[in-house]
Amino acid sequence: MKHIKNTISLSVLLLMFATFVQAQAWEIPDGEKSKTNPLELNAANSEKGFEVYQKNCKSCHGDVGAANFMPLVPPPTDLGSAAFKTANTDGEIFYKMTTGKGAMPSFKAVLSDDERWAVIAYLRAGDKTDATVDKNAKLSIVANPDDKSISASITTKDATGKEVKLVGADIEISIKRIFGNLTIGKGKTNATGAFSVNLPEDLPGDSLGKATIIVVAKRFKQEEKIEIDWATPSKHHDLTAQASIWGTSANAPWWIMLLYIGIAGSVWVVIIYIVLQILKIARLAKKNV
Amino acid sequence: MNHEALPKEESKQLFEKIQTDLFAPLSKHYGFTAWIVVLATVLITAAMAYFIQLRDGLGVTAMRDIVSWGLYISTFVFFVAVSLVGMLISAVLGLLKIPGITPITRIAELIAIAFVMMAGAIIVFDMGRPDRLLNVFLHGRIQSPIVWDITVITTYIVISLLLLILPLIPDMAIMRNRFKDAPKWQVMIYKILSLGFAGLPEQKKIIYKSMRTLSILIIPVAFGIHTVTSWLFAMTLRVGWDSTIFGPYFVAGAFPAGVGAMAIALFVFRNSYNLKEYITEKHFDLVGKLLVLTSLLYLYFNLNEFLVPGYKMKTADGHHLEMLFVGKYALLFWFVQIFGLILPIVLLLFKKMRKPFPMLIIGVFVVIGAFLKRFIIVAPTLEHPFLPVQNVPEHFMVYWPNGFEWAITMGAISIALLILTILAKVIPIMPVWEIALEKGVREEELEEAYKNN
Repeated sequence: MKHIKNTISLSVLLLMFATFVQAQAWEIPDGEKSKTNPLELNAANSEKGFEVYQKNCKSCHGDVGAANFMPLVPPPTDLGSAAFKTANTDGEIFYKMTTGKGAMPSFKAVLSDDERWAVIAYLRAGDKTDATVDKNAKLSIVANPDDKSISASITTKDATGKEVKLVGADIEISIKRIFGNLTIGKGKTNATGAFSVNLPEDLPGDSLGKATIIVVAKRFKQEEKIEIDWATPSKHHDLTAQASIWGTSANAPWWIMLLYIGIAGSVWVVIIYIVLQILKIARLAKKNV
Repeated sequence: MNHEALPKEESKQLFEKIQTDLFAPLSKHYGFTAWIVVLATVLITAAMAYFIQLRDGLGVTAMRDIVSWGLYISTFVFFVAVSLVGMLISAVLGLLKIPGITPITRIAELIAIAFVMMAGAIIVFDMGRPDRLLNVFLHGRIQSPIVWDITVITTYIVISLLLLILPLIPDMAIMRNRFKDAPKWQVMIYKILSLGFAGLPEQKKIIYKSMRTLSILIIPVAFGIHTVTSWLFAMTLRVGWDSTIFGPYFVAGAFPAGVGAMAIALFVFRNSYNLKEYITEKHFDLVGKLLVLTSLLYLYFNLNEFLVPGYKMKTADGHHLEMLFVGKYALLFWFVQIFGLILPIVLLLFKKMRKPFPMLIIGVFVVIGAFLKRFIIVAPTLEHPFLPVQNVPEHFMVYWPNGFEWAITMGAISIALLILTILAKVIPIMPVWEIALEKGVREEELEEAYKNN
């Protein structure tokens, strides 16, 4: 009885608390509201913010703009929604992240000021994504069979319209497998503007040694594929072609054939012999007459 | 084992009496019609149920994706088990020259044929699309225990039929000569089945030699039929089936089932065919002792089959065994073990219990136990699939046969009994010539009866 009472009172308390949490509004000092993001709204900052967001915010808020946040009470906001972004200034978002409230924890001790501002840069970048992408950037790949390497570089045009190779651009090189892409190397282009990886010596391709290499430069929204024919050819064992328990009758293992035909055959030889003997009874009768 | 030949006159009278006694049931009908009506009623019900199953598919049964073998398959195993008695009585006891078994050999053969034929048939009843039966033969794989099972069942049917027909040839010759006034078609059948047997020495030699050869041949084939039946289960990795002793466990289990059925059949034929002089209390004593022997052997296999995994209780085995020992199948399990196995062993140790009527009661319990035991072997295992079952209705995961299955199964049992009844009606249920020789009728008396004239 006592147990039930406790349960009921606890539930009521929790319910009240939940309502209280929901009803409580953010109170943000005016000075905080008007703060602006000290970081430049560029791709680098946005990417940094993205990484921070993935590690610290996504578990409750879900993917930005996807509205797939955790079903909590009160619900975590989709931080990519237009409603959220227009209702809050940068200063307000920063303040909320810093202090926290109710179920929203304070990130003051967890993330540096820069990291928190980077998240805001990331959230705001969504609006300007297309603008930040360098339309002149072009990804190119070179496959070198001699040392089994793949080299990628990004060229763009500088202010004078001259073609230049970008230094320090992020590039990911992977190989296409059956169920997805397997990353082989990930890094930044070096001083000469190239990023290269050596493929493993025994990297398996198809039966002819062909494989598809995929190079992605995410920030430039570039993806290129190249087919190589110098991967290690892989031999596929056709499991139904060999003699096996699971194969068709034609592929039965010899020992099953031997046992089956041997045993059934010898029994039936005797049966046929007996039947012939029985028929002999009738023949003997005719002869006798 | 020939007795000393009787004096001529006495011998003649005895042979006449044997013939009168053993041929009597062919024309007299004590309760025959009533029995046929009972069987026919069950059959009609079963036929209606089967019609609906054929029209609407196996969905009308309680079987689903998870438990796809149910009452039909356990009945199949039961039928195969019972049919093994043909081999046990006519071959093993015959070759061991156990005295006085001649009067019960043909009954054993008839049981074997009736039940093994229905074992084949009930597999077809378990098919949703029996019209595709031919595919089993066209596309069957030699690696599949199902193909082995079809082979060995067919072989066993053929050998059992031959073992029935061979000692029947001299009987048919006697009947051909004795019932000359019978309807023409009947005489015709006797003529064909007697194969012109006229008691020639070569003809007799062929019959003796062939019977002996078949008696030896049927032993490995009978072991084969039930071992391969057990392999249908044991060749999988399923809990409760994945056992190395499943073959001998099944063979050992088949003997008490068949001998129990034998006890019932002996009691029924003895009374309804008025054959008390031929099927004596000695036969019941013999069958009783045989039941103890075979049940002890089966008990030993049960001990191995349940104690060994029960001691280890591996995760999946543990769930399965708990279900049997204390779970939803506990009642069935302990009923089968106590009333179908342990109590019969204990009771039959007493001579009083090996009399005809107690033997009938014990036989009934042993046969019911054997039937339920097959169900316990088949169904509970399927309720424990290795892959987790999710998002299926509750009734997919538990199984208990429904009315359709019971009706069709009862139908199959009554067809088996009908085959047995009709065969026992049109042919003498004992080899007349062998009985005559055993009782001391002179050879020349038989020669006279065989003569083709």
